[in-house]
Amino acid sequence: MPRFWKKGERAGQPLRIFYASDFHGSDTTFRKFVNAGQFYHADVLICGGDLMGKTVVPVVADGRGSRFAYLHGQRQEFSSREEIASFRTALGKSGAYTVECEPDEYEILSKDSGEVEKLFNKLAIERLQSWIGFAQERLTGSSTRCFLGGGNDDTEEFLAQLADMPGDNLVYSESGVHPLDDRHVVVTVGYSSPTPWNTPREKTEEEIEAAIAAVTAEVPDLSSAIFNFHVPPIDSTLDRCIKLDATVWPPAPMMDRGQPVYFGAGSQAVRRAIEGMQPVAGLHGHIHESRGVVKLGETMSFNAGSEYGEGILRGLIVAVRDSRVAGYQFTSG
Amino acid sequence: MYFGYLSAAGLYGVTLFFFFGPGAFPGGSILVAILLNLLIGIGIFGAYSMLGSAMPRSGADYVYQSRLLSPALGFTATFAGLAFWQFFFAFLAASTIISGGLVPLFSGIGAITGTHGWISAANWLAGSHVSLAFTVVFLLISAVIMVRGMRLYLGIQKYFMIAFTALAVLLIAIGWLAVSHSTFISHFNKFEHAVGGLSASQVVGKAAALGYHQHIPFSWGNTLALTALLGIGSYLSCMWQTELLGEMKSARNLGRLFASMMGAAVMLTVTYLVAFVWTYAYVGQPLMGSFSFLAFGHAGVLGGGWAFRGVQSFFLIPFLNVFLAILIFLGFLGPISQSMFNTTLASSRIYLSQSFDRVLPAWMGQVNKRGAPANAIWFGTVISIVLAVIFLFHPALTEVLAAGYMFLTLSLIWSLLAAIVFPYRMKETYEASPASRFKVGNIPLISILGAIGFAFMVFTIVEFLTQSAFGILAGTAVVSWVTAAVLAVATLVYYYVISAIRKRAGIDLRWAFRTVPPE
Repeated sequence: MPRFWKKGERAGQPLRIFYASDFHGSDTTFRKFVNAGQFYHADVLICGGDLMGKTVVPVVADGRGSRFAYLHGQRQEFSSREEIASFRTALGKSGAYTVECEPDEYEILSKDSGEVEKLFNKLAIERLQSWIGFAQERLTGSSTRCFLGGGNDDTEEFLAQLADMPGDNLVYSESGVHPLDDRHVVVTVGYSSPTPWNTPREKTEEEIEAAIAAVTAEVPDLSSAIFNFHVPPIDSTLDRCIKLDATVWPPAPMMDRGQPVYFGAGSQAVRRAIEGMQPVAGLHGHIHESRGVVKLGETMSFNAGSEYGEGILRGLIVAVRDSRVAGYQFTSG
Repeated sequence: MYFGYLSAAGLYGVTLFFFFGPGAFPGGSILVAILLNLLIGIGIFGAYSMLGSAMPRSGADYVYQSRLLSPALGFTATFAGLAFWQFFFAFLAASTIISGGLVPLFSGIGAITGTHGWISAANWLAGSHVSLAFTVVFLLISAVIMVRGMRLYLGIQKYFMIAFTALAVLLIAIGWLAVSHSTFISHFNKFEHAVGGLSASQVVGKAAALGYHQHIPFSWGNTLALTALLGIGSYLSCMWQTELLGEMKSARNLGRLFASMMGAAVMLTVTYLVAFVWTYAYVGQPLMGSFSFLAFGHAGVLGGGWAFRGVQSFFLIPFLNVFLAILIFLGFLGPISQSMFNTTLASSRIYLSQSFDRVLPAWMGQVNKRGAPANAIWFGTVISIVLAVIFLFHPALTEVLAAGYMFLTLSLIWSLLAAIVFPYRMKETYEASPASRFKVGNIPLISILGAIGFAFMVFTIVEFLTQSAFGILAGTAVVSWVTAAVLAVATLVYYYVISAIRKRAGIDLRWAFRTVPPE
């Protein structure tokens, strides 16, 4: 039978990367991410940041043996431990943190936003630690390595938990350069350009440019680097989202003739870095709805998207061979 | 909702159904068919909205079928069985702007003003080469609008299409209430005289001579056949919007999704009912029944170029007023041109989704800065233009339209089957979706609704395969079957070839369709 491709081109198995980001506290999504290594036969797992959740929901004792909680403004009542457990598990899947508290504790939380923030950080760190435990248990003994970086929603205190992860399989990759195999490295920068939400790790374009310059200075051969930059390049179609009015709180979608106004919310600095340095690939998240792929010069840049709220893992498999993207596949499930 | 209503060709679909349906299925009750259509629609739209809220992705039918049934089947059914045939309808819609919109308008103005030049202009427009040129221009204009993003298109839909369609429905109702039946008959005869057609009494007489009976007993079989005929257009159209779910902000909202499909179906039913009353209470059963009988089986006898003049003329007749004729034309223009947009919009989103899964090349899934999959839109437009040229030289191939409807219906069947198995094949996604809240006993409602829709669509396919009126049994239908078979086999072969190519690049295509277990 004749062959329709060059003989020998198949030599050497590609490095298979599974990338996903923006889990925002979702238990299910993170667990799927860790399991994706074995499921997709990936050599490395790369997380593009935004591990931290967004909300905390108190489950309050009502003084009569039952508990209640407010979810999306609606009061929900629970009369048994099973109902409470089921509620907390469901919220954990979607990324929210829950805590059982007494009426007086709830009263304090209702009045003091500082207390809410303290509680939120505590719960976020607890969940992150449980994730680290889960990942360690699953990956220990396997050859899969998992690189966890930060995003704009992750606080420095939260990310500090990743600095001392046990074992060899888990690597904290934020603002660093790490080898993926004997040829390719991953370069991680998790900052984002300013957003209307005023999140913890937003930087100006100049600061992002400086951060990229500092970390890429350590890379001997940029043509073998994979950029794991949380924010996508500006106006690349990977950053298209609804423009929000930051003059109101919470920021509201801007409308024009009854239709939402879309714009590119990416970073100039990231675009300049990719176009100038031409790495193998750019891996991005941040704009959940702009999943896609685009070629900037010779570099293929991806946004894997996110659907963490539904417990759906949106991911991306990139097969890299000889400093080239040999193939890629978006995944969802 | 507007998308679905307009997609169902609103007024134009109504008239086609009313003028040809009774002739094709004598004894079938249009009124019962309209109501049954709405009732069955509840099941179909329920199943689709539940699937949609669970998996709000672009290219919905492809997503459901590839994830829940089989990737190869999903790709083949939606590429060869859904997306491709839609280009046929895009071309058809573009050419119908001329044959069903401009030609009746010019004829009407000619008949009203007594100026033969307008009728000559109508006949000139109906000429195949002129029609082709305009068809291509319309297709290109629609492609430019779609490539510029949904905002422009939605603006046109909201401020032009829907506004004028509503006005046209209103005018039709006013015509019925304000213009007497005798005036209608007098205007009908004047119009027919101007365009060279038969008068009202001649229509009735000719039909009787050719074997038409005014009092045909009610037939359940033909009523169900009418329901199937009506359902093909309305179900497909109301659900076309699901292909664009990835771009809808409220796509996860089951209630809103169902309301948008059902709302379109209700609007359509109201339009059908207005037209039904107009037709049978105003124009009258003898004339309409006779006209339908001749239009379906003996179009040449009708004279006046009805084959291309279009049924919009019927609604111009009560007034015979130039200004109102233009307004009614604009009312028809929206629904007719919508089919040109929706088919290409839906196909481009299916291609986008298939490209994301790496089944189609990456360039097909590229979106521009306005969020439109420009390459996929242009790809579809080019196919539509090629089809337009082919049909210019081989007009007999228009019978492929019947095959187009059948294969569109077939692709819908797979999605309804996917709805039945959804709770069992993707348990975790189902449990996390709003659909999981609805059960009858222990049986998921989505499975029940899917089964209702599935059964009706199977019945529709049986009708296609057994009733010659559906067109697929015609002697020349061999072209349809061969085209469909070649397309399906080629698509399936392509799927397996591309799977092998991706595997060599280190990617297993099947990964796109699988879910990672959380535990």
